[in-house]
Amino acid sequence: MAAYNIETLKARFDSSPFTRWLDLDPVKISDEGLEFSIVTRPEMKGSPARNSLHGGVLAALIDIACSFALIVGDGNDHVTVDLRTDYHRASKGGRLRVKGGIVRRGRRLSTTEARIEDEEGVLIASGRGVFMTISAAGGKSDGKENSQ
Amino acid sequence: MTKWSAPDPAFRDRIERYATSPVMKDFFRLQLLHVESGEVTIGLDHRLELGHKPGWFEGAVTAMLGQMAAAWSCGTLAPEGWTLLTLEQSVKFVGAARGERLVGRGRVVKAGRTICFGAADVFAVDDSKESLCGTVAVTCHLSPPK
Repeated sequence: MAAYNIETLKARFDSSPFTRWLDLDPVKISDEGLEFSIVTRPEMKGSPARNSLHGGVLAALIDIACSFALIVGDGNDHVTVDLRTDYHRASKGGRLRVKGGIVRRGRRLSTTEARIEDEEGVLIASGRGVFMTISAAGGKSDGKENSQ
Repeated sequence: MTKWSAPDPAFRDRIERYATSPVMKDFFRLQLLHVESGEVTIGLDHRLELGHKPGWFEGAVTAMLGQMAAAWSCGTLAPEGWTLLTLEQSVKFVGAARGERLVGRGRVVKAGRTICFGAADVFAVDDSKESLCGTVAVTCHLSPPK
């Protein structure tokens, strides 16, 4: 059974100033991952000339989807060790759907993957991450607390 | 003096345009610290919106700063009128992103005609002491005008 539902996940997203700025809307949650959406805004654009969403915002969405694929299942915190993002198409904005899923959940280290699609289902970016589990009961962070 | 020669003498103007894009200028408030042919250093000060708790930077912010420093280093080598696209980026979170400031030092690793590999180290600055918190590698595509 998932540790979060749509309402508590929205509250979790909004508890972080950065993810609150992104304004993410949870869509689906399961033990194996999650889906959320984001309505992009003009201030998230990279190049005004190309009118495309900034790559840093897309990488942030990949990081969040990969880490929360683990968080929603077990309720633990997971910090990013390694993250790769592939940029496939420029996003002109609008609503994006972001899906995160677990490749393998380990006791200490886990691997997850994520995809970002636009409203037509076109793949915009994808990625994969390695995450270290931090106990929800206050386990040691090893001083590498970079992410959620 | 770097080993890379920028084909566009106005390469600094190009990097300044990147740095003044809406998300860079208005949200991240990114500062351009050093621009040379094949090298870009950028920084940003900590604000609550850039972290998940006071004093810490969000992982995505560390990744973004490194990506920008590395990709913009590649961008210094773009000919006039060419555009810069990041194809892929990978970030290793090697230390705590905690402090009053992040600094990303980017460089070109290898430049071809259209494919350019860049890298960056991201440092957290706490009480004037720098510590490495992330390393980033990017693959960029330099596209000629259509």
